[in-house]
Amino acid sequence: MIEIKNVTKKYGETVALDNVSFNVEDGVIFAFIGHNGAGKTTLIKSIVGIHDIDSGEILIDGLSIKDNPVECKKIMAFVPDNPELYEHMKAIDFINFICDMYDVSYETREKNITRYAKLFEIEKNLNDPISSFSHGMKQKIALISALAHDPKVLIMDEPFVGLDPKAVFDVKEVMNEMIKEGKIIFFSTHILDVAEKLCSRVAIIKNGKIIKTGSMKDIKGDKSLEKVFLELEG
Amino acid sequence: MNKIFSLIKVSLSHDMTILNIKTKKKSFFSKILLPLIILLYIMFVFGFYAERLIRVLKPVHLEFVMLTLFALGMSIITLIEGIYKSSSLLFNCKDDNLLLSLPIKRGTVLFIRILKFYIFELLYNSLFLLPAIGVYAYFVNPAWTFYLSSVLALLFLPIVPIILSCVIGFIVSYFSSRFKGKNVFETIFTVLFLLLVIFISYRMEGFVSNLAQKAMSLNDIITRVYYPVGAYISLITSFKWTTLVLFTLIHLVIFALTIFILGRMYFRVNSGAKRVLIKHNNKKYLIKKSSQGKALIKKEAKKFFLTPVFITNAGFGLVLFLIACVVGSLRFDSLISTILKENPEFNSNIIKSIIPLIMFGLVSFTAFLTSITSSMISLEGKSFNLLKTFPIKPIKIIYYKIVTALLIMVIPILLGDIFIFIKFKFDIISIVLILIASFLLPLVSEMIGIIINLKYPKMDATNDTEVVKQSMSSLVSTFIGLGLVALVIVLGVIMAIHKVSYNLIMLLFIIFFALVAGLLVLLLHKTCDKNFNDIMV
Amino acid sequence: MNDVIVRLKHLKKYYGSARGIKDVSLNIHKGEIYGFIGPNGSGKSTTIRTIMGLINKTDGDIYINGVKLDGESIEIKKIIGYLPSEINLYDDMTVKQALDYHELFYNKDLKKRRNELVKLLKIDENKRIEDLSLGNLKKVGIVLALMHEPEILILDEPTSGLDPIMQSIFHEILIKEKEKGTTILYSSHVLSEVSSICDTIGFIKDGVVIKEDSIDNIKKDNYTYLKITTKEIDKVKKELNLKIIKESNNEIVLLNTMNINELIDKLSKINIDRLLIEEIPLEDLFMNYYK
Repeated sequence: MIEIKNVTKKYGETVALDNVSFNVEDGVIFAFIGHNGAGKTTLIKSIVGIHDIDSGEILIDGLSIKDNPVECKKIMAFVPDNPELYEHMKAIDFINFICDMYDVSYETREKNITRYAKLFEIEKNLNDPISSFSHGMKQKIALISALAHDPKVLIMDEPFVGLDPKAVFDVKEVMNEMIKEGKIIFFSTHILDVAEKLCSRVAIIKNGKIIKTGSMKDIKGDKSLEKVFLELEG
Repeated sequence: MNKIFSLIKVSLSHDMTILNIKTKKKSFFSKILLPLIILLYIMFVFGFYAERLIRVLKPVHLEFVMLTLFALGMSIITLIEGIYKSSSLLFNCKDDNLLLSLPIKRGTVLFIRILKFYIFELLYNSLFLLPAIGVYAYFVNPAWTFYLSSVLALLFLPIVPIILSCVIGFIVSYFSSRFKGKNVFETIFTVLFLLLVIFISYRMEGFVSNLAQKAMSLNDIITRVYYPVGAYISLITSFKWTTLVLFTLIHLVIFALTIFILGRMYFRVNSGAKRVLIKHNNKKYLIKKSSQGKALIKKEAKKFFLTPVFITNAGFGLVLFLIACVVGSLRFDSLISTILKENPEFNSNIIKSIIPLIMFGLVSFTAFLTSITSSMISLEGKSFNLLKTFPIKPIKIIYYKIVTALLIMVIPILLGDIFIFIKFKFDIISIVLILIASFLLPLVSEMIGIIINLKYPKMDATNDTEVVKQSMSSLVSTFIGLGLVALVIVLGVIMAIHKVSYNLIMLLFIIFFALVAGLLVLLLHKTCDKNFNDIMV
Repeated sequence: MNDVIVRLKHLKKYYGSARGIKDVSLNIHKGEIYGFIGPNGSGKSTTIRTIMGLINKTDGDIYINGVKLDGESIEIKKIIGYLPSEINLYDDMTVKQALDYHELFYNKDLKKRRNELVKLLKIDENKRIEDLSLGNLKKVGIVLALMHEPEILILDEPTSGLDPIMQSIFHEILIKEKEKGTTILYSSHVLSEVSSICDTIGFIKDGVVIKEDSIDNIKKDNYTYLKITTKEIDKVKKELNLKIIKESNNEIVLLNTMNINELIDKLSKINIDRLLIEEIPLEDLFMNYYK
């Protein structure tokens, strides 16, 4: 479970996150939505340990990301909106490298890499240098690297942007499989119709504050998620 | 015209953070005062050398030869550095796409980039030439025309080396883009050109030992062969307005012509995309497992060897050291006999006994002037966040960077040591001391480098050259390195003159640097986590 | 023929045997919104970057306004507004400085249109580029592409990263541009968008444009989905020999490309419990080209 407790972060005078609190339970696909600049990426980067927070706590399975960063990071995987990979490496070398960082056994790697590379139809490109990849292909490599170490918590920033429709479909399938094993999927997105169908829980952030959080059914009611969002924003 | 000025202004302010003093969180001391102190120190050191030279030349009224040597030296250094900087300054820059999608001529983009290159070299050269000019003025008290000529010389002397290195950069880039593994070929071609230049300048230099005698002939050779220095010296010795005008015009014309010609070829031959020519191989991909540490070292080493500017910059010093050791040990006897002939007061035993100390000095020189870690953080660039998400403590990541840099440095140094040991048969104490130094001094150098890079990271550079050669971190590390070398040489010479035993001198230095290393480890542990986490990409 | 504003004839760009574009031919007419779609790595971005001159083509021709592009084409760049999929700007500039910088290159006064767009998209001009989120950076990119009132717009994944409000504002801007007669090339993965605002679709796969048609035509020869509930799934599969969309133990969804009479004839030979015939949503239609 991810526990976000009274998290505040300021950039100089601007308050990026204002007393943000909510929990993400095991076995849930959680949507994090909000307008541009509302604080989604800041919160996400704080959860995975890229940013420090000014006050509050973030606990992953009871461990604080601030006090036990290494333990927390072991079970998390982060896929950013714009993946920055090591351009000078071959794709497979990059994936192997990431697995080495997470100390993944040979058997697990073989199973996962083969499976996901086939699924995303990128097997034939694994021996190519990343510098030759298109944006969507880089994203697929970032995804495979994240999934290869069987993370308990998968955190993504705009995961569907730049992926072709088949890949979007495949990613959704993978997510659904993962939550059956009690894992957590947490991502921010603007593509609300996908979030609506895929996620069981949602949090909406506006100007650094959480304005709504709860189950997708309750928040949505009879309307579409898009309508709810526009009403809250407008 | 207005457009061009704005373009230039943006270009400069974007990259030259040395000139653009942004104080985000850094204190006045670290951003302004410390670099300033180091700059002044360097100018002082070079002024010192200039003064030594001129004193030797004064009795024979050949003071201007000092300027000849300085001017030529700067030109050669600019050329050599330019050769491996130019490809990465002009091609495959991060703002290629931005500039190319705007309605701006490709030639204009080239002009802006070469101009930036020029301004940087101008400042760099001035750092070394201004003290020399000052010393000359102090000793010779020349007419006002000297000052005019010197200002023009400062402005124009960098031009020919820069133009040459840009042309070579074009050639290297053109050839390497035809091959797979572009980066490797870029490095190879660059090295070939470098060797050519070094070979030529080696043949042109003679012994500087008996300067007063050789000065005139040396001067003649240089000024006759290389027009820019020749014109400058003739302006100093016998000023003529026609020479001045010609000097100015020739340089301006060369500059304009080169920009015009190269501008037409710019981006025509290169694909401009970051993509590389790949042939599809149907090999099955290899899944391998390795430990965290080994994987990190491999990644750092790969990055090093696949970044041409990085490898040529560090490799230059290391390879030179190796060559010096090999050549020194093979040609020692013939070198010795030439020295003895001209200086019969020495005898070969005295010379042989001082070799260990000289070797120690050489190792210090190479260790402190080669800095690999000072660019390792900056070169991570936008992919730095990856490191932040790994389940590994920052200090460990830093540790493996140091280990990689150390491996790259220590291996050539040890090889050179072995050659010297075999040839000269030092006593066991000297051997041990030099071996310890071969590990300790590079360690100190690399620790300084990484601490500085953590404090002054440059994560948004447009190209690799900016990071490796022009960033605050690499410059500060270089200057600290120069300072340490000067310290070693000066103290070493003083102690030697006071008849301190050579082994004792080396031991004292080793104890000193071991203490420094210890302090650096403490400093690193104290500042690493905070600086690492503060780096925002 | 004379109102073809953008024309690509057998455009080729080789990076080696694996990727690049092999044969891209397309025609975009004046005032048209042309949707350019295809799987990852098929050559969409390569085509666009070749048109913009960021990459040198290996072979083929590009015609803008009837004029063949050859070498430097600064005048052409002045009438094209380009929105790349990855916005590259100088990090330490503020938005205002970045916009001022771009303004320099066009010999006209852009203040009015620029301020209009900044206000519409709710951009904070004082923020620094490095502090902008992906979506906000995209908004700046949109202003840069539109502020010099270009005749042609080339948009690569324009709405990726934009929140739904901004997406609809952006679509409104595009519709207004279209009314003004601007020609628009719209490359995207978001099929729902493409099917709602584009007039013509060009589909690229493995470096070749394999289909180019107007949306109306595509909708016309729309196939249908057959949802058949039966215990004789295998017999259905054998008799009909159609593409299977979904299959469970007693229900199968097929893509019908057969003539209706032929279909009824074949179905009569099988024992089925329920038959449902549905129109395929456009998104799914495009998905067929992806496979």
